[in-house]
Amino acid sequence: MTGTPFLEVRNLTVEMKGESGAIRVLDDVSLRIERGRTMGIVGESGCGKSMTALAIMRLLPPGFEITAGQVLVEGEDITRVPEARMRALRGNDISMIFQEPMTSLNPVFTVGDQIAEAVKQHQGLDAGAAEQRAIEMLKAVQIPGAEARLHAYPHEFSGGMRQRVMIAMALACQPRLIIADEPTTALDVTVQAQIFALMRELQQETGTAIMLITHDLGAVAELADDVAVFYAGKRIESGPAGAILRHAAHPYTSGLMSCTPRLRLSAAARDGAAVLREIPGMVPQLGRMPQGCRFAPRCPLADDRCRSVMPPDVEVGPAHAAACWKAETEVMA
Amino acid sequence: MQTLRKLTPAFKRVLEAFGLVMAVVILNFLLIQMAPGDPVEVIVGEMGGASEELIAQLRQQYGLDQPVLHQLGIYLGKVLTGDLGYSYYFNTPVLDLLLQRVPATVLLCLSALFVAVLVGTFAGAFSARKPDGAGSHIVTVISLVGYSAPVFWIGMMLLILFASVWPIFPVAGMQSLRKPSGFAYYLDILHHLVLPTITLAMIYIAYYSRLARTSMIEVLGQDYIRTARAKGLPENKVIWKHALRNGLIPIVTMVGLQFGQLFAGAVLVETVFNWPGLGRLAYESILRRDYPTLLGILLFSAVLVMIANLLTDIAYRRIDPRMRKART
Ligand SMILES: Nc1ncnc2c1ncn2[C@@H]1O[C@H](COP(=O)(O)OP(=O)(O)OP(=O)(O)O)[C@@H](O)[C@H]1O
Ligand SMILES: [Mg+2]
Repeated sequence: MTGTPFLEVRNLTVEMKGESGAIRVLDDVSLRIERGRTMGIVGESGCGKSMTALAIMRLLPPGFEITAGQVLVEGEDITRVPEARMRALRGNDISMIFQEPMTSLNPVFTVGDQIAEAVKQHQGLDAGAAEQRAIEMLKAVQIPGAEARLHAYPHEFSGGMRQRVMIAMALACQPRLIIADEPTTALDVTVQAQIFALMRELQQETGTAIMLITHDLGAVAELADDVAVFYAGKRIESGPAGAILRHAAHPYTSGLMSCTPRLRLSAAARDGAAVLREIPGMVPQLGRMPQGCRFAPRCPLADDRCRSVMPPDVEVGPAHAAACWKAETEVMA
Repeated sequence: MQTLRKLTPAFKRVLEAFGLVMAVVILNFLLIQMAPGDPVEVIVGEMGGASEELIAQLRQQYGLDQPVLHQLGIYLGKVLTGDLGYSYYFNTPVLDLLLQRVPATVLLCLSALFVAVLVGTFAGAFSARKPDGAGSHIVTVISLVGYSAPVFWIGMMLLILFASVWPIFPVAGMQSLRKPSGFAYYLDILHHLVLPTITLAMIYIAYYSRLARTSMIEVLGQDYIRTARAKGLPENKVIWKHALRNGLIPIVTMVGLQFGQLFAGAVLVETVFNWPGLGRLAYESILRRDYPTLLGILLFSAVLVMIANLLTDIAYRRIDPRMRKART
């Protein structure tokens, strides 16, 4: 993990301009995604996972804005590049798969058109060659009868099949990073497993990096090489998946693990974390963040310092950082 | 079996349309019976008076001495054989008269519709890109004016403007007195078409621009638009391809529903601009108590509206694949 990673997010801050001033939805977030590796992003609903993804794509919804920090793609800060440069990156070097397969495809164009479109845009292929690529992609995501399905419309596909189409679309230009924002949340369990298996297979073939946003810690354990944990707009822990799943440094991360039933990880069970618990209390509201550590009000270990001073990101192991005053002592113990 | 199943709904539609046209015919007939005024008196008036005897003879000749239901029966029977009767005024078959006038009206209505959909959609979509921008506000104000100004008033204003202040468009009729030949013939008609089209289209431009604005703002917030952007498509493609195709759906629906209204508007516009179509004929026939002609026009407009609805249905299916039958 030396040299420049494919993607590096440095101290990224995103604010929403509201009537009562700016509200911070992301605060000082840093991440590194290495070439060809999978980064799992976890955290409770509303903690800013999707905002991070959209900020990287520079597709934040109206009213949201990157107010500080950098997003470096192979060293190039894309928060400052012109929109034309961004368009050349989107769908070509970095593509994105969204959570809602039912609404993320345009209902009035055939899936073939929608896949071929990206290829035409970025690689200047003519209609025939682009269609050929679309067929290849449909085959790659294992949609039966690819040639015939090319001319079908999204409403003629099931949710799982639509998500395969989305993946085909995302992969069509052989991007170096795919951001998958909860790609399986809207799907039933057996289909979820198929989609994850497909993603892993395709990653092995193409060597693309994946940023996998998910609530499924089981999937993280299986697929992710690295993990970043978000809480209330902050990235509070990050590091190699093994290290985080086995020795979570941040009390929130440990809490999150223990919330997951049957985590497919023997180590977690060994620590007695398989007993289903929940983290008491609620995520603080945006714009009404507590002073100090944002997790302090819910944290069993919090003391006065936690409640008054925001903890810095500290190194707790090789490439493993956590923003917690107690982190070091936790790991030592 | 396969073809039968395909045919049946179409056949049902035709039957429905036929029943509807018949209902329209009966209703119109009865409505006109209730209207005040007597065609014979008008004819007599134009002749400069006549004896009681002649009046009675005219009544008999036109069948006006028969009971109403009997008259209706005769009329329906004739309509079914394509005979719409004789015009009281022109003394020519109504069908011939109407067929002469239909092209002018269809031309006017279609051009107005074309202009309205094109300009309205473009203005609406343009203002939806930046709903709070200055351009958007200008579109809103203009469409509000267009929406609230009466058709005949706009017509009068254009007439005044182009008749005296800035005479670059003809203000009456469909052709110049000395008809040019060849290509110039069509150019001449187009030249005459400009003002009536603008007048008739104005309210629909206003209407469709508001509709397109709302519909495009909604569409632009959809997930698939984000997907299109995430693909790296330029903003023009996102808006004019991905969003517009979806944003058009409510407009096409509206066009179908409003065709009858458009036709009613054409009556006014044709009258103001002396346009030789069905609308002006309708207006004149009312004044002349030329009931067979009026009935024929009403029948024709019902049929035209129905054809328009059918075409909208087809357009709707073309735009929105979800409306097509599931492929097998
Ligand atoms: N369009 C929006 N308008 C206003 N606030 C928004 C909007 N979208 C998101 N937010 C807020 O921004 C914050 C971050 O949201 P984000 O979507 O990134 O959460 P998330 O971690 O992806 O959650 P989830 O797991 O539910 O997808 C949340 O508090 C959310 O309420
Ligand atoms: Mg999200």
